[in-house]
Amino acid sequence: MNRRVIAITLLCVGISALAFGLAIGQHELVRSWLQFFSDAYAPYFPWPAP
Amino acid sequence: MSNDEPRSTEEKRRIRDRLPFSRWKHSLLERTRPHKTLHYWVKKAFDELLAIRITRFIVQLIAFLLLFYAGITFVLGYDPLANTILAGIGYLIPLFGYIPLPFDMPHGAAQGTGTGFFEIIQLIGQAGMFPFIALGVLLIVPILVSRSFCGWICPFGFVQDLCSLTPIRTRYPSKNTDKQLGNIKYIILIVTLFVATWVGLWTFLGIQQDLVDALGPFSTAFWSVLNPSGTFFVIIPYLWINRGVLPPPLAWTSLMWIRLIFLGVIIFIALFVRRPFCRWFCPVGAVLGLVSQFSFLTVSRTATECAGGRCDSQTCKKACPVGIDVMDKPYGRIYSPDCIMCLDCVAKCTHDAIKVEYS
Repeated sequence: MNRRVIAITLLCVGISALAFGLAIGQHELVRSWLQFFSDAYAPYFPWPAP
Repeated sequence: MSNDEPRSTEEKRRIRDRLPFSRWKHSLLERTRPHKTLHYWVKKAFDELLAIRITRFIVQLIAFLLLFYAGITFVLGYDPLANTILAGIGYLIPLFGYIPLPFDMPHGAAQGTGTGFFEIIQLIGQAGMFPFIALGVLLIVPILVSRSFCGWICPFGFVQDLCSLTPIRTRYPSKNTDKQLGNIKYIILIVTLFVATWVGLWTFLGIQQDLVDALGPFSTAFWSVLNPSGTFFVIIPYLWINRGVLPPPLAWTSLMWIRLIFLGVIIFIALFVRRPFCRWFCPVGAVLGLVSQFSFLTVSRTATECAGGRCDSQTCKKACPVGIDVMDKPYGRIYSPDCIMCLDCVAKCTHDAIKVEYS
């Protein structure tokens, strides 16, 4: 199959997955993981987080 | 010199220049080229402003500062003004905290501003969910810009590039050794995704406890507990600042020693082989490389300008930080899953035969 056809198909699948992930709030989960580790290590790294 | 001996490129150029009107004809040929391609503008920008390697180094440094802004204040010493400025940059890029990044970026790094998508695939996968956003990043970024993030942004890639700046002579592993070692990253990728899916499925069904107990620290994120990038950006800063004491989530176990030894080996090899981690061990690069074969952004080689196939200078091969033998690839679009789009081969080619394309 043509490379461009596969590329556009994969791009559409990717955009759909990203949009669906954002719609169900999975980005908040990503942020919470980062925040969880930031909080866990905060006493051992004394400078303020953003 | 006898007539049978092959002439060097320099000698051929001198002979060509002695022919009448050759320079004039050459300039006419140059003018008839299509000038407004992407390659033309990229080459013009880099030729006239900065060399590609210097530009890349500056971009890598800025990305490093943005990703580890607080870590930088840690190295420089506590400075309220610098910390405020850098924390302000952190506020300007809150997207980093929400969208996984398309390169190897460990979670829990010393006040890092983001997390790599592979970390998120492991963490969300093993929590019994499907990583939609991470999958989106995995598909969109390499299709649009191939593995440019590996070459231009990845912080651990930058560390390896710094190691290669040392005056130690660069070694080039044989093609067979390179190929054999390159398979390790695919094994790591398969095992990590298998464990993430297995634990995730068991978690979804609610029968994960025995499996989690059996896997121990590997149950949370299989690759992250061994990842030398994580060791470098998470473990080392905490060890440094706390004088050898690790925070409670981490501990001085045999696994910790394995992590440190693994990192030491990677850094040691990086002193005389360019980008060993990216070439042989990085599962993030492996999965990005597989998707990037369909990328719109490519590098291609032209038969006529590649000195008619007789160029044997090997500059493109020696310039490549991941050891791709560009001369060994067929003419036209060059694809290698290891290509990190650093464009060093484009910059170093003396015949202007390697071009950047977007098609």
